[in-house]
Amino acid sequence: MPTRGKPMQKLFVAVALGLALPAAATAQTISGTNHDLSARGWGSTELCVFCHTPHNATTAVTAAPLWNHGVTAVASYGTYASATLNATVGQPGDISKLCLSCHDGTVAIDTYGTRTGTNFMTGGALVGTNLSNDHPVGFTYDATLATADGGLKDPTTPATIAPARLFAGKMECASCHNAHSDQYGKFLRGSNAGSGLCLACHSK
Amino acid sequence: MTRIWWIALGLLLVAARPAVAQAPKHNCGFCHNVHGGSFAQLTDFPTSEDLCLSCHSDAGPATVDRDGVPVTIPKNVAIHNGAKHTSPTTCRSCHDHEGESGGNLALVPRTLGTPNSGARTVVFTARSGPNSFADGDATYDGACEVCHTLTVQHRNDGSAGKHNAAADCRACHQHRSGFQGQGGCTLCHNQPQDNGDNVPPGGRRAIVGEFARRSHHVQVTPADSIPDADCLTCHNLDQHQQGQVRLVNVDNASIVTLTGDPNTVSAEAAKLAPFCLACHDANGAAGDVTPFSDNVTRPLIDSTTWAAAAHKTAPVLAGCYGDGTTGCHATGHGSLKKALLALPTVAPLSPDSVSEQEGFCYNCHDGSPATTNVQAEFQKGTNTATQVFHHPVNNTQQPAGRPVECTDCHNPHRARADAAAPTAPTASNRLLGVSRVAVANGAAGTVPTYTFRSATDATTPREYELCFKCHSSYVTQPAGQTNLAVVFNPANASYHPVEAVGKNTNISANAFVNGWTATRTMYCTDCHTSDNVAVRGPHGSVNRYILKRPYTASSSSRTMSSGESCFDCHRFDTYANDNASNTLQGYSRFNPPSWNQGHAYHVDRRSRPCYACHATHGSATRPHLIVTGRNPGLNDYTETATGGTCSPTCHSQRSYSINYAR
Repeated sequence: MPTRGKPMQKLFVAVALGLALPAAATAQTISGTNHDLSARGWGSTELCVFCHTPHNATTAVTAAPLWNHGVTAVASYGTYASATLNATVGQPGDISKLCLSCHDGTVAIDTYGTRTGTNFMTGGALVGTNLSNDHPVGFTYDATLATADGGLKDPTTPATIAPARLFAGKMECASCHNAHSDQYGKFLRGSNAGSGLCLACHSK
Repeated sequence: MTRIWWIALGLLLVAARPAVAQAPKHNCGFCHNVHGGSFAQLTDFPTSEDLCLSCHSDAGPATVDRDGVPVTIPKNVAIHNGAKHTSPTTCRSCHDHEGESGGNLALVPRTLGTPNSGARTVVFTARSGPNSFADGDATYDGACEVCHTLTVQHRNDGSAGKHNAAADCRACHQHRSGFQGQGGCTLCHNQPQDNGDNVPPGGRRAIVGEFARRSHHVQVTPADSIPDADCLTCHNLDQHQQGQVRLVNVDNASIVTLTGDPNTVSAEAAKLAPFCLACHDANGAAGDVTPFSDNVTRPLIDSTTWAAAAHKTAPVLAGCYGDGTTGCHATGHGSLKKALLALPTVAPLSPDSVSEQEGFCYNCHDGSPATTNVQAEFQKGTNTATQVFHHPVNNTQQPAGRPVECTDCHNPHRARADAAAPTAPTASNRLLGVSRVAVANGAAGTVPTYTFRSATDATTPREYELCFKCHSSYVTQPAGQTNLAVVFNPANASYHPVEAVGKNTNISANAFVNGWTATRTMYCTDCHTSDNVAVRGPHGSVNRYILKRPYTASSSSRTMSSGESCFDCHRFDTYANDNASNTLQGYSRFNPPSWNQGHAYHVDRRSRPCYACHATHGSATRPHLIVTGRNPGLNDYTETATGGTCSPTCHSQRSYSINYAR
C-alpha cells in the first residue's frame, strides 16, 4: 500500500466549524487569517495592500479591482486530465491567475506595489504550476457539461450550485474559495461538512 | 442586517444538508484529494482496491471521525470473486458514489451493471428484512441477488431457492471471506433447511446433533465446535449443495458419490465399504491413524482379514452399511447405539436389552437369516433361579465386574468359518481377532505368568487363551471358581489335555469313543458347548456349566447313564457297565480281567460316580486326575508300575493290578 498521506485525513480538521452559526458574523474578514499578511514585516502593516491599492493599481489586471500584487508570468500550467472527464480544461482564467500569483510559487508573496519580495509560498498551500493533480479550473461548466457527465448538477440557475459559483461560466479557484473569508476554513465558500461543498456541484 | 443573517443561514443549511435522508459515511475528501491527488479522479491510490483498503484493512485507521462522529470501519474485507465468476470483480463493482446519494447503504449504487443480466436496479436500504441483501420477495433487487444467476440460492430470476430470505447474509457470508459461506460446516448443518427444490429431497440435514450421540466419529465436544477439517476428512465439497453426498477415499483420493440411501440400497452400501476401510485399515487415513482433531486412533479393521470375514462374504451383507440385517452400521456421524450401529436413531432399551450388543447380533443370529440360532442359546438355563447355563451376555445377569459380550470372543470384522476342523489348542477361525491371555507355565500347581495379547496380536491364538481372560487368576475370580490356568498346567501330575497332550498316553484307544485317543488334545469347548450339536461354542446349554452333556459335581451314590458328560469321550461300557465283556472292560487298566472290582464295578455295581475319585480339569499332585478328600471318595492313593493302592472312605485299603502297562 502506498505510504503517502491519507487523503481523508486532510479534510477532517476543517469541517467542525461548518455549523457554528455565530462564526458567520465575525469571520467575514481577512484579519487574523492566513491571508492577513500585515504582521509579517513585509514592508507594510496594512491589511489590503498586499493585493489591492487605491492608487497606482496595475491596469493590466481586470479580473479584480485595483490590483497591487505581482502577477504570475506562467503561461502554461499542467492541467487535469481524466478518462471520465467531460469538460474541456483550459488554462486557469485571469481570476485564478491572481490566486496563482502567490500559490504557484513563482512570485514572492511579498511582491506588491513597487516591492520585489523574497518570501515564496511553501507547504500545503503551494499548488505549483502543475495543476494536473488539482481539481480542474478554467473550464466551462454549463448545462451541456452537466448532461454529458451525468454526475453534475445543472448550473444554469446559479442557486443550484450555491455556495459554489462560476466566473464567466467557468470553474475557477474562486468557485470554491473566497479569499476574503476563512469562515469555513481553507477559505472555502461554504461548509464542506458532509462534503457539502463538493456535493454543491457533484451529484454523488 | 437581519436579511444578511437569513441568507447566511440559508447558505449554511444548503451546504451542510446531507445529500440524502440517511447520514452518509463517506465524505468526498475520504477518497479525493482536491489539491494533490496523484491518481485518477484526484485520489492518492492507483486502484480503487488500494484506496478502499487504505481504510478497510487492519492497517487502516480504527475509526473515521466524520464531523466528530466516530464510525467503526469494516475491516479486512475481501473482494467477492466466487468460483463461478468469469471476470474479476472490484470494490466498485458493488460500491460507488451513487450508493449513498441514491439512498442505498454501503455505497451500493442504485443501478448495477450485472455480469449476466445487464443493468439492474438495486434497492438496499436495510441489512435484513425488506430491501436487504436478498429479501426473498419477487423483485430480485437485493444487493446479493441482483447479480446472481449461477448460485444455488437467491438467483435474480427467482429460479433457485431462497434460503434464509431477508436474513443478514453476512451472518454466514462475510465480506472478509469474499462472501464465501463461513462459520464452518456446523453453522449450517446444525439445523435442517428445506428450500423445496428437492435437491436433495428433504433439503439440508441437521448433522451436528448426531455427533453428540452415544457413539460417533470425532470426539469433540460440544459437537458444534467440530472444525471443518474433520468434516472434510470424509466429505468432498466440490459439488456441495448439489444434492449428492460425495465422500473422499483418503487412500486414493477417489470420490465416492452416493445417489441413494446406503441403509436401504445395497448398491450404495457397497460403495461405502472401501471408503470406510480407507481409514480403518492399517495405514489409517493415508498414513494418519488419528485423522480427526480429537487425536483418537481409529479402530483398526484389517482389510485383508475383513475380506475373508464371514460378515464380508455373507451374501446378505452388502458391506458395512445396512439396516441391521443387511449391514451393521447405518451412519458415519453418530448413533444412539454403540459403534455407529444401525439403526442409529433407535436407542437401546435400558438396562441392557435386545437393542444392546447381543441384541444387535440377534438381528441376524436368531435363526434368520443366519441359520444358527444363537439367541436361543443365550436364553437357556434361565429357568434355574441361581444358575444361568449360558455366558451372561445380558448385562442384567452379569456378576459385578464380570461383563461378557459377544465381541469378547468374536470379532465381527474377522470371524470366519474353518475350512477344516482345527486342531486343539489352535482356536477356531470364529474366534480370530479378539484379545486373549497367554500363559507361560511354571512348576506344577503354580500360577503361570500371564501375557495379555490384544485383538491385533499376530501370534496363533489358542482357544483356552480366550477362556483364561475370565476363568483364570488373570482377573479376580468369584470365590469358589477354579483357576483353570493352574489346573491345566502341563507340568501337573495329570490334566485334561487342553494345553498339551495328556500325561497318560498309553491308554488304549478303545477306551475312548467318538474318535478320541490318549494322545489327542482337546478344547474347553469339547465339553463346554451347547447341548444342541448343531450349535458350536459355549454360548449356552440346557446343562449346568454350559456342558454339552449333563454332569453332576457330587460323589453321592447314583446310577450314571451313558449320556453323561464323561462318556462323550470315555467309553461307557468300559468304565460304567459291569455287564460288558472283559474285552470291553479290559480297555481300562483298572478293570477285569486283571482286577474284578475296577471302574465298571465301582460305577455300575456300587453306584459311585466318576466324581467320587476323579477331579475334572487337572491335578497338580496326583496322576489320573485322582482326587482325595471326597466322601464317598479316596483318602489316599499310591501308584506302582503294575498297579496301585487305594485308601477309600468305603472300605479298607486295597491294592490292585492293572490290565496293561502304563
